[in-house]
Amino acid sequence: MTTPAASRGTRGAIVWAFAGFQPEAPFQALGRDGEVLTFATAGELAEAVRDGRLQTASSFLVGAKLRPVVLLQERPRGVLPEFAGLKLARFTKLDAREQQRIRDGKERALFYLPHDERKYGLKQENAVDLNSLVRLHRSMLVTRPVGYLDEHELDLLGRRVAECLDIDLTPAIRQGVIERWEQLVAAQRRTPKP
Amino acid sequence: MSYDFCYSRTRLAKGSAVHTRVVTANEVRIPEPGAGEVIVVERYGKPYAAVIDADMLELLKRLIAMFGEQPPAELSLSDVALQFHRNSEAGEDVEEFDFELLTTHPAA
Repeated sequence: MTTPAASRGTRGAIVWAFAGFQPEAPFQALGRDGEVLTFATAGELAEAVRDGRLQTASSFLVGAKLRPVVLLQERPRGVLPEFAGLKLARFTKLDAREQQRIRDGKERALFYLPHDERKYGLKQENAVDLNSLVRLHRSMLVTRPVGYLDEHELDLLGRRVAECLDIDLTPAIRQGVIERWEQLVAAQRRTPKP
Repeated sequence: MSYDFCYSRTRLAKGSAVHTRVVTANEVRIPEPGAGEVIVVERYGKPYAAVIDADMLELLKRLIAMFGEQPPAELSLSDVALQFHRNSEAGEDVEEFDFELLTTHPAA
């Protein structure tokens, strides 16, 4: 059963937010007098900083789009203003066979969200792009949560995100199994034989 | 003549993922491996390649999955996932915002 949105936090929450596009060359940055300067490479940008044409912390012109995202973290203290999140998108531009692969869960880098407005707060089916990790300042959030992923979905999502980030969970799992095994063996040794 | 797997030491770093390249039996001429047998092809007196049977290939894959290093996820990214990612990153095929949400679900 879905918990009412008002009583839940932000982990697994679907919100609408302005998500910035990834800056990429050619770069546009504001010069010292507010003029727009264009640089073909990051190296040229660094040279402009060295030469005093740009400040060390320069203002970049980057696009942003209002879109649904799923937040991955809880912020109970509110001392960290940024959230890790993943972008959602539709997949109507893919052909019918490709769309079906996503619906069938055959694409490990995509997490399918069927159309369920009551649960997810979205008007259409979407998928979470597990390769779209983004940091969002709380001031970029346009809405409070419109829906939530459930605990099972979050668990699966977390494992798949780890895969996509090349985080190998195997050693931790293996260590956990070994430790549990050793605990069981130790417990058996302590148990007096009848 | 049957064969199932052929690899070169120079192409398989220790602990890395196995990338399988399938070629038809018509394209190669190799001795048939018996069950549990590994045929080592030498060049200049050193092992150059090996031919193993299908069962051993499965065992090898399982061992690598259990004990080998995790291959970069990008290697297994499908064309579908890649196209989805490109569309999404370009801001295409994103659901339209319902401006009613500014009233019903404003951010705190």
